[in-house]
Amino acid sequence: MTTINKNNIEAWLLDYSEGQLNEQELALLEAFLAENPEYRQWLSDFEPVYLPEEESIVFKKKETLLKPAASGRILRFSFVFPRLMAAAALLAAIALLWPRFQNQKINPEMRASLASPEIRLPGTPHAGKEHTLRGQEEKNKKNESIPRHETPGLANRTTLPETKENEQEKEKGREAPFHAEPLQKGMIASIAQNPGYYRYSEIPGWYGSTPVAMKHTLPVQNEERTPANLMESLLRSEMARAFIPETLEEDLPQADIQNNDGGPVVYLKLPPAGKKIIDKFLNR
Amino acid sequence: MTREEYNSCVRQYADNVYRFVLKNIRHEADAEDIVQNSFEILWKKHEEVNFEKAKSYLFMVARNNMIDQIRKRKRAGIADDESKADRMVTNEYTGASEALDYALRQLPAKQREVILLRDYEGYSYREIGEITGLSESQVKVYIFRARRALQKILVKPENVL
Repeated sequence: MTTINKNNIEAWLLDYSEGQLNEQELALLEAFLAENPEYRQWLSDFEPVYLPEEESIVFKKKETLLKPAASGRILRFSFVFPRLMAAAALLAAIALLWPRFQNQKINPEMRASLASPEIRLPGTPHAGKEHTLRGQEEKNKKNESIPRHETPGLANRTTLPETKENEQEKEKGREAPFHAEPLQKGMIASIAQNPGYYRYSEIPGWYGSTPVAMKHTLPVQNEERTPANLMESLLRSEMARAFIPETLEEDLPQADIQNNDGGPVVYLKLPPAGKKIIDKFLNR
Repeated sequence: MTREEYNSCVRQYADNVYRFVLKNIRHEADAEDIVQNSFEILWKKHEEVNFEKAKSYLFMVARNNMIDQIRKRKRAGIADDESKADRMVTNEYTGASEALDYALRQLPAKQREVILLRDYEGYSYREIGEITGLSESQVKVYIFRARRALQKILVKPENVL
C-alpha cells in the first residue's frame, strides 16, 4: 500500500495495530491522521478482539469421506507379513505338536478339526472354555453332536487355504491373500472374553498366524451396498473400533475389497498400534 | 494429490471446514452436506489440486457451496430458524464463549467469513483474498471492521459479563 485514502484507511489502521508498518509507512499514516483527526479516535479506541481457539466443533462423519486404498495394496501387504508370521507360527506349531505326532496317531477327524479351529461366540455351548491342543481329542468327541457352523456369523467362515488355491494364485504371479478367520460382529467380544479360543486358532495359515490384519465378509443385501459402501460400514463398525479404538480416528487403517464368489471380502490392514492392541487382547 | 494425501486432507481439515461453515450458516445438517460436497469435489479434482493448496481449495469450494446454499434457502423462502432464535434470545448467553459466539453472529457475512479464516485457520490476508475473491486490502478492511464491531458488541453494557 503506497497511498492512504478513506477507502483503505481501515487496512492501514489494522496494519498499524499489528505492528506491520515500516518507518516510511508510519510517517504516511501520521500525516493522514493529522489531516483526518476523526480516524485518530478510531485508532485510540480500537482494542481488537481475537477469536479464541475452537476445538469443540468436530465433523463426525470423517470416515465417510475417506477413500480406501486402491485395489492391490493389501495384496502387497499380504506378501510380507503373512509369510514371516506363517513361517514363525508353523515352526511354533511343529514344536508343539511334535511330541503328540510321535506318541500317537492323529485320526482324520482330529486333523480336520485342527485345520479348522472354531472361534465361538459367548453363549454357545463351548463359550468360556479354553481350547488347548492337548485337550483337542476330548473336545472333538464332545463336539460330534454339535453341528458345525451353528454359531450365527460363522456359517460362511473361510477355511484353511487349500494348496491348490495357493498354487493357482502363485501361477498368476502373485501371492494368495492371507487367510484370516472372517470376523463377524460380536466375535471381537468373544476373542476378548475367551482368549483361549483365540490362542487355539493359532494354527499356521489362520488368523492367529497373521495378527496384523483381518478380513470381514459382509453380505450384499441390495444393490446399494457397493464395495465403497461396504468399506465405509466396516471402517465405522464397532468391530473396527474394538480392534483399534485408540487409532481409528487419527490413523485409519488401509483397506481393500476383493470380490470373491461368495461376495465382497474386505481386507483391513491395521496400523502398528492396532497390532499392539491385538497382542494385548491375546495376552502375548 | 494422491489418494493418501486426500485422506490426509480429510483427517486434517474436515473439522476446520465444518467449523467454518457451521459458524457461518448455523445449520448442522446443511453444514455437513456442504462439507461432504466439498470433499467430493476435492476428490474429483484431486489429480489437479496440489496437496499444499488443498486446504485453501477446500475452503474456497466450501464457501461457494455455502453461498449457494444460503441463496437457495432465501429463494425457497425457508425461514432461518437459527437467526430467528438468535433474535429471540439475544441476551441469554451465559459465558464468554457464548458471548463471543453471539457477537460473531451479529457480523455481516463477509466480515464473519474473513475473521473466521484469519483467527481460526491462521490464513494470511493474501490467502484469505484468494479464498474469498477479495483483494488483500479489502480483506484487511473487513477484518478491521469485524474486530471493531466485535469490540463494540461485547462492551455494550447489557453484554458485559
